[in-house]
Amino acid sequence: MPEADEDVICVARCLRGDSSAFESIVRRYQRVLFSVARRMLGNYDDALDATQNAFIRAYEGLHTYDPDRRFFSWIYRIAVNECLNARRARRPDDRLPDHMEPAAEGSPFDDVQNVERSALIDAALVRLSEDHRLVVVLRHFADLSYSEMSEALGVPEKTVKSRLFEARHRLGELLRLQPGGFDELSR
Amino acid sequence: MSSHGDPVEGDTPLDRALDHASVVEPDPPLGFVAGVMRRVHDAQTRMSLWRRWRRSVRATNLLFSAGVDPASIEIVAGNRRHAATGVIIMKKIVWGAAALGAVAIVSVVWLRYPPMGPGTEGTVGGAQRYQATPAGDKSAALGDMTVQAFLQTDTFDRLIKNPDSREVLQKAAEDPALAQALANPALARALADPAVAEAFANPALGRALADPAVAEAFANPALAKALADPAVAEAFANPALAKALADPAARKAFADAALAKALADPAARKAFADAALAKAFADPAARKALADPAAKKMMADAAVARVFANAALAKALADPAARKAFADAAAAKALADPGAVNAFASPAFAKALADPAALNAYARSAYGRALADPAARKALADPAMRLMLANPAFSRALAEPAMRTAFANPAFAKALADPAMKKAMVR
Repeated sequence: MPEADEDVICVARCLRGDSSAFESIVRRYQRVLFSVARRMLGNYDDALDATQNAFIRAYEGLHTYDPDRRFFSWIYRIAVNECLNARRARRPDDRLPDHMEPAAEGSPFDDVQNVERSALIDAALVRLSEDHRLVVVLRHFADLSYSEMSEALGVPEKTVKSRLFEARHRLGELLRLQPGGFDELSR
Repeated sequence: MSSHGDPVEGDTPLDRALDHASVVEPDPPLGFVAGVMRRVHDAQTRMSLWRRWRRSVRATNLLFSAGVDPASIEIVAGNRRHAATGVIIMKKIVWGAAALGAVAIVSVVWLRYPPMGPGTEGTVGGAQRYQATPAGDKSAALGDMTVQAFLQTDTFDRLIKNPDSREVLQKAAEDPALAQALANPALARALADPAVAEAFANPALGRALADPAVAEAFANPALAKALADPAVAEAFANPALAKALADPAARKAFADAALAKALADPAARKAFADAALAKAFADPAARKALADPAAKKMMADAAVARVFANAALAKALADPAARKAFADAAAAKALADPGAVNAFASPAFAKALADPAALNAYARSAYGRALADPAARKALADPAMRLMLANPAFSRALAEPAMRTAFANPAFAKALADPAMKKAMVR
């Protein structure tokens, strides 16, 4: 069964009162939404809270879901809005950290080199604009297609490509300026 | 990255770096799903029944919209009971609401409970609202509206535009007596009568009213009271009377207090209102007679007033000959005598005058002179004599010159005063 149909059936079950059907949705989208939240908020715990809240809001608003759209696009918008709300709730002097916090746990490798590379990428992503950061995250960390990104971001596919081109160009520049160099990362 | 619109992804150093980073991308912690699901279950429990029902309806629509067979939804064992709970509860609520409605209908229709009285329409219980007494015709005290109504008539408009009428009104404003008269409620009501107002709008009457004597007469409370009588008011509306009042002599007559006093009598007013009498007043001779002090004195007598109230006499006076007779100074002088007055006051005599022959006789100046004789007037005052005068044959006899000559003879008059003679003539 296609993933889209599975989503619709799960949503229908939830709407009929079978709340356990939502578990499959949470398992399917937790990683990507958490990743987006982490890239937007720059904080592991904040991203965790925002992701959890996004799922709860999605469940409560399931009856507003339009099956003509992809479910991920719908729940992604909810997650982004939740992150934006979390950022607004911060004190004005709270800014994104200069670098992403390293994964506290769940890192599949003990390879210190990978951790260092990830930290460099995170530091560069923080310096990107929000639009650029989102397209990079959706493309390279959530593995969305251009059309899916277009739907999720609510912009034409052409704009997605253009924005991703600019984001990658800017990210490359930032990584080249990092100590240790771009060549070290790409090795 | 060869072109601006193409990200040109592939095996580039950047892609390799991002791939490395994605590998070490941290996942949500263990227990994340369980934590979310606990909150989801809590959210589901907090949902109202109405919202659950709405979501259930939406689920069906959602499957149809997505083209998914609703039968494909199988609620897993263990969750089936939980999922069905909302539907069962909703069914219970629907049946419960229906039962309550049925009980309410039975209670209201059959048991008459709660009792419904006035003002309970549209409510379950009787609402005790303040209800003010609606304004009635006596809630606001209004003054006499007749004058206000008259001020809004076309007649008043014409009255105001008439120079003569305006002169009267101006004079009324300057003359305290006339103003007082016009302020009389009775006169005001009379003036409010369309017919009277129309008469006052007549230029002739306007000129008459401009006469100081007439104005003074109107200031007389008795005349004002008389004018309040609809019949008199109607008489004033008669063009003939208005024309008569244009004559200085007639005005002088009207200005006399005696006339006003006479008009205070209902019978006199009735006579005055008679169209025939009004026509009579239009005759210069009659007006001249009325202007005589003696005639005015006579008219002030209530008995004479009653005479004039006699329709027959009024009809008689419409005859030029009769009016000529009345205009005779001697006759007027005679009428001032109580005896003559009594005679004229007799209905029988008035009836006699209605006869053309009798009128013809009266029209002779000799008759007037005869009446001037006290003895003749005394004879006329006698009931028997009046009965005789009412006799058509006698009236016709009077038409004879010889008879009139005889009647004018003082000796004949003296003879008429004799009871035996009267008795003989009545037979």
